[in-house]
Amino acid sequence: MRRCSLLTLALALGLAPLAADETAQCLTCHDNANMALRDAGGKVRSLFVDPPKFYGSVHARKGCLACHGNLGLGPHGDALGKLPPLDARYAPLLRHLPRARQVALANCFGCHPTQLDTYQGSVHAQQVAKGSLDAPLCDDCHGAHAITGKEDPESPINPDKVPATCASCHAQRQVMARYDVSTNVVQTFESHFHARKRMIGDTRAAVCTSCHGTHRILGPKDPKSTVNPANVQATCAQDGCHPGKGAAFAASFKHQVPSTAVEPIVYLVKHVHEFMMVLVLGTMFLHIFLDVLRRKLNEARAAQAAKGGH
Amino acid sequence: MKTREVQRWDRSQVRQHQLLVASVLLLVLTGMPLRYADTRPAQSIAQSLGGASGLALLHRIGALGLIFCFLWHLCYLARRVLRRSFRPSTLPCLKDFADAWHLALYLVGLRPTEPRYDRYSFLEKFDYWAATGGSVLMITTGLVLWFPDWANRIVGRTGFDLAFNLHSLESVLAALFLLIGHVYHVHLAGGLLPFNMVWLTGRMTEQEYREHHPVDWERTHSPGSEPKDADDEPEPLP
Repeated sequence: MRRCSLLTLALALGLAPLAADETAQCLTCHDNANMALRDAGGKVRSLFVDPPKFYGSVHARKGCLACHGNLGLGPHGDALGKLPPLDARYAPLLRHLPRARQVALANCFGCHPTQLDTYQGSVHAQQVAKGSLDAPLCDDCHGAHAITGKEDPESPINPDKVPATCASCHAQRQVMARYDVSTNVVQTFESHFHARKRMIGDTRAAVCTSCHGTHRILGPKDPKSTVNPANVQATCAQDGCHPGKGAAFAASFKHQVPSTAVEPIVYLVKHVHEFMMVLVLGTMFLHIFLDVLRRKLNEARAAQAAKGGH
Repeated sequence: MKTREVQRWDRSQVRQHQLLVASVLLLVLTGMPLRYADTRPAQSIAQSLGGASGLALLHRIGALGLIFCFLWHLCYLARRVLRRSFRPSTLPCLKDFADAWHLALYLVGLRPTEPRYDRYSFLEKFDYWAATGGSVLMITTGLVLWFPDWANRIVGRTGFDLAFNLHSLESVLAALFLLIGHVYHVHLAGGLLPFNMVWLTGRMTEQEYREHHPVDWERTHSPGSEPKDADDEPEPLP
């Protein structure tokens, strides 16, 4: 009888609320914002997990151990030695990454095989497989402990946040130079209609992922890419954005900044116009300034003359 | 005693100018929020005018107003030419350059008096031609942006990018020039406060007119002057 009631108790307390319980236990230490350790390379790594953010994330109910459990990361029992071998499906992808990253991503791939398959074809995955430590994996775009869906306005994959998420890498000159990718993409996006319309509240206006896709992003030279010249027209027409528009229309949006080499005529006209603007407005303000001054002087003189006359 | 007035503009000219003012103000109000979309004021203007789609619609209404105004003015000029009442008073001439130099010297105190202007001063002519040129530029580039599919087939990507850049740059130049420069020197300057009434009534007081346009006044009012032009005896305003 005693064993039976213990079992019942274990079932009642143990199975359903287990995840929540164990999370609360972990967070008794890890909710300290200053908790950190120095890793083997001498880098300070935060061990802080913000409880409200984790409990608000899509993985709240999974609990800490769903990802950290079997792997025993950190000082919780000499973790690194106990890592299971990586799955053959993603081992090649992860072989150049540091051990902790391998573990983290193996966790994502374990539960999300479809997304893994999609991602495997992308230019980002190609770079990761070649040994890039810059190219993004799951957590670089989705975050780690605070992952939420794109409906959450704070999520890095919310359409309003996507440009900033992409820009966190694509605006970095040194990083992009390694892959011969221009950082103009961010600047040109922000100066064009899509970004501006979104800033003034058009929730349908395109962001990076609207045209480039998400998990399977490919460079424009790849024939399968949504932004390959052969496919752009279809990409513009998707989701009812620009249906029935011609190839010339589709080819007109390019992430290029006019320069002496690219569209020199646009570059020239832009600068001539800017010069004209300074000239015209400068003359205008000078004229107004001198005109006001002259009038004041004339008034003062007239007043003085009137005084002297009497 | 009632102040004597001069009919400077006829009814059509007053109406053309009023439509131009309304269209340009609407275009500036609905265009600038897109150019400066990353600023708070732009976002609140956009919000109060129906968001991005509201702005787009109002901007196109303004555009139709400007296009109509431009065509109206062309028809008006054509009618004046056909009725032989056209006077090239807005055409630039050599005196304008001399007047500009004269004004510059006057403003820095090197000449004692202001230039004596004809019917339109060189500044007013500049405004007229700047508005004309600006309208042609804004209408053409605006149509390219309004109909990007057709425009790209005709002018190509470079033409489209050119239109985009010019529309955006010229808008700022035109808005600042009209709202500050034009308003200052035709309305505020010269003691015409609160403003020059010509844009509302077509009329100016005789005293103001003689002061600001002495050459024209003397030509039309000196004894034995040439017969009056049609726009000296315009249709009265209602």
